[in-house]
Amino acid sequence: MLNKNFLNFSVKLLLKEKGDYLFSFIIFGFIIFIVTSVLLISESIKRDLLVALQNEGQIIVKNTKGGRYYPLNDNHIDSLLQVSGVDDVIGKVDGYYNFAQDRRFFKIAVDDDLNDTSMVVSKDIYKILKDFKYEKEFNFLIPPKNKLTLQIKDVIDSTIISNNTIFVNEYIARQILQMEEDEYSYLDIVVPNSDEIENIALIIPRIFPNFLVLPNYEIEADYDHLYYYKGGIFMILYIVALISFFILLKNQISSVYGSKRKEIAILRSIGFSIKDIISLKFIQNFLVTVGAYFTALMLSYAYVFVFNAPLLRNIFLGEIEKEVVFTPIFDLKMLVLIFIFTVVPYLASILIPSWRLAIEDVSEAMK
Amino acid sequence: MSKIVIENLYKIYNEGKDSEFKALKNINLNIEDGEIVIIKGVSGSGKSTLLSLMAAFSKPSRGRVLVDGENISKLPDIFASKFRNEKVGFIFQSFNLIDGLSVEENVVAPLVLCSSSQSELDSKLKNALKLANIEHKKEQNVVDLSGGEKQRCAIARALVNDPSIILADEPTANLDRENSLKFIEILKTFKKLNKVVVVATHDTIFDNLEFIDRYVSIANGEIE
Repeated sequence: MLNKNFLNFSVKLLLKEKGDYLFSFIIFGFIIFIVTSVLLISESIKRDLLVALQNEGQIIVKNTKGGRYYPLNDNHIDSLLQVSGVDDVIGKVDGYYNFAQDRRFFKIAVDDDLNDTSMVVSKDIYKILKDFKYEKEFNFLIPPKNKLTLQIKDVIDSTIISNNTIFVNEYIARQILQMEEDEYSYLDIVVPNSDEIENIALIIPRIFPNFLVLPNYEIEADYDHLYYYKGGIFMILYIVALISFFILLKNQISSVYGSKRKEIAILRSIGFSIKDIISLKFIQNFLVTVGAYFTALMLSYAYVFVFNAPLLRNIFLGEIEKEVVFTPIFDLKMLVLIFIFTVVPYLASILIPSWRLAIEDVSEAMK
Repeated sequence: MSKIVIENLYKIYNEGKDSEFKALKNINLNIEDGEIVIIKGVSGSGKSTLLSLMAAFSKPSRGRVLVDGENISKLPDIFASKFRNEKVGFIFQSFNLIDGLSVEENVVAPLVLCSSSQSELDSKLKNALKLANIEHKKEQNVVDLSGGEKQRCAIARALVNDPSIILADEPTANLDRENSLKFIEILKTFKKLNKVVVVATHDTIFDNLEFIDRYVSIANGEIE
């Protein structure tokens, strides 16, 4: 029977064994922290990639020649506009600039809000440029002997998309990448009817056998695969967390059959029903698990989105991309899944043995 | 009408198996309101089993136990628990207190199932502690108590809900003579409070006490 006195008594019994419960709280919380942090990082990266993908057309088309990427032109656009189901074809410009001083490539992307003298860079790139004394402006070297100077207008957070990117307007991008006015790096094909995407993706290579055709669902699947949370190193993390979890559960079950057995029998003898015993154990362990769950969630959010996941980030991004920040996400489905796969089995591991002991003959249990 | 009526009571363990053991055989016993009964017998005679059936700790194999005319032998768990909580105070040989809790937390445990107000709770607690003469130790952890104090704590817990029946299983087995005599004094208090008291014991200290209403001997699961 749930009432204030019963709740107080449940908490008193819990505090009596605060050492044991604190141990469970810490271990359980740590397992949730690790699992949640890994999922938050992978989901955040995937979200950034997918948001970037949403800004593209339903199909991306690249040209190849002799196995190399080759620019597309207005003729290609005109031909593709003839394909039934295609609503629009937009030519896009992007590419890589070789920053020879640091032996690295910067991605050049288009932002048409910028003027002809400015650029926006990520924190990662800004740090590199600063190391080479380019604090306010940067000189692009355009072979054979031209120089293009752009002011650094803004420095944006490095995300998985932007960390290696310099944003300029299309005119400047063409100059840096040495592309003609009617040349494009790739084409965005707009297909309003999603049922037709697959069909159009099959038609295009028949018209242009050299074209590389990437429907958005395939790119999405690639991203999913790339950050698949059951893959590789994540699998090891999950296995470690899982084993720890089962050890914890076993420990809990043993403690119910051991030290808690007598306690349950005493409570039964003074009038606690089976339902009261289950309620008591539920209250105690709900406080521990839900407390640990929410504490671990808050710590995971702080760890990933405030402190940028030190140590764990290297598993995802490697050592180089140090300035990348993870875009905060809130995925209720993911949090509910973590709850179901951690809190529920933990509670079951306590409640089922407690129930089995509670239904025992009281006089037998007291012996 | 008798307070407790025991009719043709049997308790058989492992019935129908090779290891079958008849702990109680055809027990018939009536106990009146306010009566103090001592059940005497050697270890293994069936006294504790009889007490556990009277407290609805377990169910008989055959026969029945009526308390205030109600058959408690076949009660579903929720009613059996309510019966234990409201009508019976049980004093165990090994006290069966919850280690780690204080005296008052142990004593108050049977009351937490009712939604009594704090003042009601405090009043019942104070009364029980006073009757058992353990008020001065109420904040002490039970693990730090002596054997006699532990028993007084167990008595306070048995009394806290003001039950009409007190059952005591070998209450002096873990006590020295001085504390055993103190327990006998507490029995007198129970008598004054008009409680039904059933004590299962083989301790001779309970022999020939004038305030005891009845002695019942039990051997090999049968009343002699």
